Amino acid sequence: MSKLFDGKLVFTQIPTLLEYLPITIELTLVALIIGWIIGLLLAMIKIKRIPVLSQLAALFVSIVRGTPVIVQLYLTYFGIPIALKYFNYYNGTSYNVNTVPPILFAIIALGLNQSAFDSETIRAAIQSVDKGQVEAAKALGMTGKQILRRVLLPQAVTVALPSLGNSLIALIKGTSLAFTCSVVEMTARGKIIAGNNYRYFEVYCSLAIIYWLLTIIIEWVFKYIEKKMSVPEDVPIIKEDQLQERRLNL
Amino acid sequence: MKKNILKKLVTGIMVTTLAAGVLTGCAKKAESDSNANASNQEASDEKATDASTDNANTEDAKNTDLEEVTTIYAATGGAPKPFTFVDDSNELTGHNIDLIKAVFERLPQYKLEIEVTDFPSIFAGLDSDRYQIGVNNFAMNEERKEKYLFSDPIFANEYVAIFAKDSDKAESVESWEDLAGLKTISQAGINITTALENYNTANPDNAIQIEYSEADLVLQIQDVEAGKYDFVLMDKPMFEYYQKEFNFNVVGAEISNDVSQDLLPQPFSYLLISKGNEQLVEDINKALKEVIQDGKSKEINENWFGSDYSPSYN
Repeated sequence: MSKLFDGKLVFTQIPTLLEYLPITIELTLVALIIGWIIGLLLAMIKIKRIPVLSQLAALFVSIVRGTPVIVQLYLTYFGIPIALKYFNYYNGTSYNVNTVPPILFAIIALGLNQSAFDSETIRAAIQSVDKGQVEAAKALGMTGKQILRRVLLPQAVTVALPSLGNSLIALIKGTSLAFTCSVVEMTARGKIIAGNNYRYFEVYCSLAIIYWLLTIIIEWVFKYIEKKMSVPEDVPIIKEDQLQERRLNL
Repeated sequence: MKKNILKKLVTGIMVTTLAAGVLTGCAKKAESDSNANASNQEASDEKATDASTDNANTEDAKNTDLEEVTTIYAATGGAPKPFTFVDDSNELTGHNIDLIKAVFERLPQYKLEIEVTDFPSIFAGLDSDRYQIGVNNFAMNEERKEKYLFSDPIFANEYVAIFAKDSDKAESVESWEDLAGLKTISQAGINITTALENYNTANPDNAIQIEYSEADLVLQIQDVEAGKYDFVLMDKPMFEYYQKEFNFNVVGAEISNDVSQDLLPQPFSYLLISKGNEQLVEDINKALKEVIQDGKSKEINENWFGSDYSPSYN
């Protein structure tokens, strides 16, 4: 019997897989930014209870959170061309989607997916900020934008960070499905390599190692940012009884 | 101050990633173009170099003069080897790939672009006409016939049933009927499963138990080795490649082609073509016939399998 499991190959093929790490990172970063921006928008729509828009936002979030990422990738990558075909048919136009690079579809699908998850995180985080602070800011004459930027966001970000980190980790693993859109990222490259040497199990072992390390790095980065962003512990906190004392002293 | 820096950072990241996206997109395209050229040259190197370079020149001339060249997008899953796979130097190759390239070399009115994608995406892509051709050693069945167009056969398939070495069934199997009642494992959507399903539809009382799985063939063979399944069906040339790599403790029982002919109306592989491309099918068939008759197909087959699996066109 020849080697059933080629342990050495698990490590020797990692560099070949890493050649495609930039694609994975590109997918992740762009989808992340799209997710944050649209997520913030959705969150604001929900918080402000804008009629129609907030219902649409809720519907969108519900659909996206209720369907697997792989299905969403299929829907964007193949659904849009089908819709366009019908559009062309009924309007006599001849738009062609094939000129749009596949990676764009993957980015859109992953970004929208990310936005749905992040919108809930961001909404919860913003709403966790004490109302009194907003009122105080209003009393100081700040505009809505100023309140958002100076009062709400800095505090909300601290609250949202752990969850955002979690969803980023989910996203980086979600990019492994981009092969459905013909995007050759790391996992796709792995499948292709295995298609050549039949060593599927080994390639999945290598991929497991790479994704795990990536996740550990992300965890570190987020821990670092969290530490930087959180209210420093050595700031003197005025306790209730001290406050009483001060009042009495006045 | 701090916030400004943050802002700049974020916008910086956005701009760079977007730029990177555009750049890599372009780079990829350029790469695949050059790949196509390179492999064209390779293929033509084998035979009459002069003639093929002439061909290429006229092709280029036509490209620029008439501008009537339609780009045809073909999709492949990049597996199984040796039908379609990406080799060590990152080039798409294999029997099916060589063959489709040979076909399109004879069709200067088309420019062929082959994309590697996830296997199920080939079908989705044909549905949406993102791809016009699916090239993955596809078999024909009724369901597929309703949805897609088929080229003429590109490959005459031979199947082997793989049993554990100590299995007593291995020797007694001569026809599909001998497989009845046995348990097998297969991946949905591939030609072997199609063959099994066709058999079961035709023989509902004598059905083969199929368990569907996305598991890799290596695992499937291991399961047969371990006795979890009675047998697994494979393309014969593929099985030979697998045995070379893994040397499993299994035997392949060849199923005679006559019997499989009864079972599958056509034990062949085809190119799948999306609906509405009737002209393309016609052109491909014409070129395919040439490729088979002038021995190019035989050459490709012998290169990959050591023997000729070309369908005959008599």
